[in-house]
Amino acid sequence: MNTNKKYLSGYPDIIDTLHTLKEVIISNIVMIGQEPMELQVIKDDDVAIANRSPRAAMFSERIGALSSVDECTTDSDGNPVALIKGRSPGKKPIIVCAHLDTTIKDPEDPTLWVTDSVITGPGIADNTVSAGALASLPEILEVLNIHLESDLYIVGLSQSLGKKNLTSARQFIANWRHQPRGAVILEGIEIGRLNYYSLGMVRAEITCQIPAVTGWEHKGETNTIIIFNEIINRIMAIEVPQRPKTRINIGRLDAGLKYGDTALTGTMGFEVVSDSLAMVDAVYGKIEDIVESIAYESQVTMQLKKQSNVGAYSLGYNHPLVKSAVSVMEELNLKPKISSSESELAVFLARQIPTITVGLTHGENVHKENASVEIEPMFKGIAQIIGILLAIDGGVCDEN
Amino acid sequence: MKTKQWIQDNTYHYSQFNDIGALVDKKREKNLKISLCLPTLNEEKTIAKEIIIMRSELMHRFPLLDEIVVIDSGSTDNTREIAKSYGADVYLADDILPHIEKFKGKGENLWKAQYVLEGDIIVYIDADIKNIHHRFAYGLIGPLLLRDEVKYSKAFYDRPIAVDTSKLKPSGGGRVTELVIRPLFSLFTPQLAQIIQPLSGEYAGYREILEQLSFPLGYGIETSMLLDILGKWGIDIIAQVDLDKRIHRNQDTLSLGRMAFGIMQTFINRAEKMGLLSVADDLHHSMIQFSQSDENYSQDIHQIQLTERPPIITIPEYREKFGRS
Repeated sequence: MNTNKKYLSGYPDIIDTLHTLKEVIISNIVMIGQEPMELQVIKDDDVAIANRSPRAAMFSERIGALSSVDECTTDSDGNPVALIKGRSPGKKPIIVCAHLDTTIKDPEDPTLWVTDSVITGPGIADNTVSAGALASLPEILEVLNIHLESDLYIVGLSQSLGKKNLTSARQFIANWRHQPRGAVILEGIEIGRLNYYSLGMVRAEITCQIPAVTGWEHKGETNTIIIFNEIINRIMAIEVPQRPKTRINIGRLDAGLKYGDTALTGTMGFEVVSDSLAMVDAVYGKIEDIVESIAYESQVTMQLKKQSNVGAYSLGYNHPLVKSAVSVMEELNLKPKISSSESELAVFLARQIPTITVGLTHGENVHKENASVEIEPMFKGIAQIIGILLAIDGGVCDEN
Repeated sequence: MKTKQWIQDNTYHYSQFNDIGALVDKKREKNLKISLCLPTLNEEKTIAKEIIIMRSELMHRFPLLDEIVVIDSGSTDNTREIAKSYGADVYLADDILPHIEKFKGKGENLWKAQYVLEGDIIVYIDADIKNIHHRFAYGLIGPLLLRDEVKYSKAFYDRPIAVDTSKLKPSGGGRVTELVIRPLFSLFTPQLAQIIQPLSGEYAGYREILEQLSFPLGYGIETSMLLDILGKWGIDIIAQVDLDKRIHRNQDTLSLGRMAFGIMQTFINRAEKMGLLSVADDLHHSMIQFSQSDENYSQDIHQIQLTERPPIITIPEYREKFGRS
């Protein structure tokens, strides 16, 4: 396989051509991104008939109205799925997807602002810009006059982040009867990002509550912050190996109400990440022991609960899909930045579907309400997707 | 009662016009051009989104609009540059018909827009709408294309207002409507009291109607349009369309007070001409308001003149450009 092939050589003006759809792409981003993600009850004659995410519904509305889309439906898990039929019915399909949910729930102002160079607003970088670009893909392929051999499934994944634990991706793949040729996952930022492997990971939350009772059996610590301090000290004392590379990230701590009051409740979020899922399990087991022992020692109610977990999988740098993606990026003068991704990628790789995750543009303040993305780099980001789809359609995933 | 029948026949929800393809077919059948005008003054935060969505949905996907034109009052921010970058035709109001006396204000922009726009139907949409959607345009165009007798359409909304930059209040818009204009309409022209939001900034009409209307340059443009249309053609040529939610910037009470002053000024002027009331003496043009600082009250006097542009059909350059004899 010649992985130095120029996949975009047939489209020398691709960036200029994509600019002709600038308004369409930004409209899709804005119209999808300003809709709430949370499920809302749809009533008919005062009777609840369905739960629907307005954002997923808008995604379907935008993509379903296009004449180049052959079918558009919503699967049993609420994921909007559009199909553009390929020219060769016997070929396995290709999947391109992006998660529709964002980390900011119920923002105070859901409005997105557009200037001549930037789009700003909650969730725009993760992952509204991708959702809008994804919804524009049928029109992009049409204007470029690209007709793939394979069927192309365009999927908005509606429940991915946090406690949703990649539910949509897991369900979508579980319901998939035929092995796809390959898949591309879109993330808003950063352009040049190339993920082809996931580390083993578990994310978990520890909750601590001081019982509101008195008596000799409740004479332990009376402040959850002090208790969490002890938990952190003991977690930090866990010896993690250099190989397989393993780390513990303590990312969230929330306890107490006021400066002068004793903190009676609290939560702490952490993740364990490793090249080896067995090592993740081993470290997690040690944290379980720590939590259990401190609960007894301090006479408080503690709970350790897994929020999400993924296995360690890798396509390998030598996989033709990865090599082709690098070639496409180099064609576009993008420098690939390789890292792991513990997201939908792990779910797809676990099913042995050749999959990569790429980023679309530059952005700032990713998980804040004033998140922003740059408009101009997005066109290269989209061109990169086209190149990768052409590579998959040309057979780079078929040889392994 | 006729007004009840009017409400039933002439009140729509935008979703009744969701088949935009059918509107395009009707526009072609009638051989019409449709123009969208966005009057601006320092709208750099919202103007791009309005142009992008209208161009994408009503020019690219469905060719319902033939042009999008921004008429700017002299913004000091990047409004004009941003609007140009997204393909709108941008004019500085002062540069249109430059030999006539220059005024500032939304009414001036809307009046001068008639000279530069090419459309047989003109759609006016404010440029400060945060939740812009193409329904704001096609909802207003719908009754004009599908009902031959309707020549002017007016928006109404379930309109939350932005209390500050981050909080939305679910109701409370339209204070001047409920406290000023609806009582006046109810007293003098009850047919117009059936219009749910007579002061809404979004409306559309056939050029043949708009060119015959005077345009007050201040706050009274919407009020005068309705009164003049009622007086010249009757209410049956008006339709009103529910455009759902409109999120916009809130104005403080003192600003609304000055708006109410200008609207009453326009109303009384028109009502006198229509023989509905007589005022013994000339009206004053000063709005007196108070502000408090360090336990002292200071008086703020705002001069609010009733300045109007005549029907643009009376301007020779306009008559020449559009072949009006």
